[in-house]
Amino acid sequence: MWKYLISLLCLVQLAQAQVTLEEPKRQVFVRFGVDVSRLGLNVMSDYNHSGFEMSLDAEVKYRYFPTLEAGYNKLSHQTESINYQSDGNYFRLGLDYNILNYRQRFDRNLFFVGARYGFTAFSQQTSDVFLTNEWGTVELDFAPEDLSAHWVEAVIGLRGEIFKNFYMGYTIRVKQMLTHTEYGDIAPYWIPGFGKGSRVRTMGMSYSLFYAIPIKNPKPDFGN
Amino acid sequence: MSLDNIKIVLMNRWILYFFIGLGLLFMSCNSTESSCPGESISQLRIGFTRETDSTTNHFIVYHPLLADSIYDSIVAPKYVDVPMDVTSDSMAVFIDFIIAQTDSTSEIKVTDVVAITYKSHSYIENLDCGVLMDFEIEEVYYTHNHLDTFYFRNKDINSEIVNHVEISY
Repeated sequence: MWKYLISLLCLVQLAQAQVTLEEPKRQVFVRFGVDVSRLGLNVMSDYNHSGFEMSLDAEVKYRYFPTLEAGYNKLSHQTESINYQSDGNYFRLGLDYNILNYRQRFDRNLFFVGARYGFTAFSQQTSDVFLTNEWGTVELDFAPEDLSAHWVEAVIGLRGEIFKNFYMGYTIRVKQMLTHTEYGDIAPYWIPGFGKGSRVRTMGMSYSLFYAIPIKNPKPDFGN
Repeated sequence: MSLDNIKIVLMNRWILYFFIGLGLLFMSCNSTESSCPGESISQLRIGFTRETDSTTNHFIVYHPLLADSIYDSIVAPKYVDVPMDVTSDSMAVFIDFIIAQTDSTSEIKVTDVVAITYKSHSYIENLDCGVLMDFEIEEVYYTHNHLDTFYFRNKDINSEIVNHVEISY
């Protein structure tokens, strides 16, 4: 009887030891990213468009990556009949869920789906507005406006490690406007972080470079 | 990213769902695109109804300050779109009825005037469309030298295509 019990205990101990051996320590890191696609905004737009965006994410639980994104957007448009400018900061807070399995997780690559809540506070100024028809030309005055908007996003994307701790990847976003301050005489052409103000649903894309700052349990040197 | 990882990512069935979903989302996003109205400055539409008149053989709608007449034809108009004076809060439109005399050898001109006062409202719905201007008619005045009846139908002059005033002659 004692022989059986001791054997059983040994088996349990062995099984526990094996599990412990196979379970790698979870890495703790903070990944900092810069959206390099913002640099090309001016090329992709008919208007003078500039901005930048940064992000922070970390794996706080297996597969779950809380993410904070912040950016600045400025758009201006000047013609003979109008001078328009909008600019402002925006923030997004959300969570990504890594679809990749455990082995890839250890490499910290991501193929993820997620959600974001977005907020922006921005201002717009319109001046030198002229309207002309058969009767003549009139100059119009529009007061500067301070506005804000809230929206949600569904996101999907990839992060791939190109060098140790350096990543690149993209995020595709579908954004749905929730609410915004009531527009005056000028509906904003561009809402920072959201997109065209004339739409309630927009799409966006970020293409970013990242650096993962190791905090605890650095990645073993298995090679890429 | 290593070759193994790329293979794993590409083989993942989620990629397929992703591209299908992406296509559907692009379609749904494009469907929300707004379009620009035809005229950036809304126009006053005057409806015409020929009831008792059978002798007018030429119609001219104009304002002396405008270089071109707004309507000039031997065909009786069903309606005439009049550009609004953006530089003022009132405007008049002159309507000449060129009427053949009973002996058919001579004509007389009878002129009626429709005048309105209004408030203007300028706004930008979409920068791609530029500045838009709508109006709200406050008061209407008219003569009835040749007009029989006058109806004030709609005080809001905007992108909605309706008769704002109607006259019958």
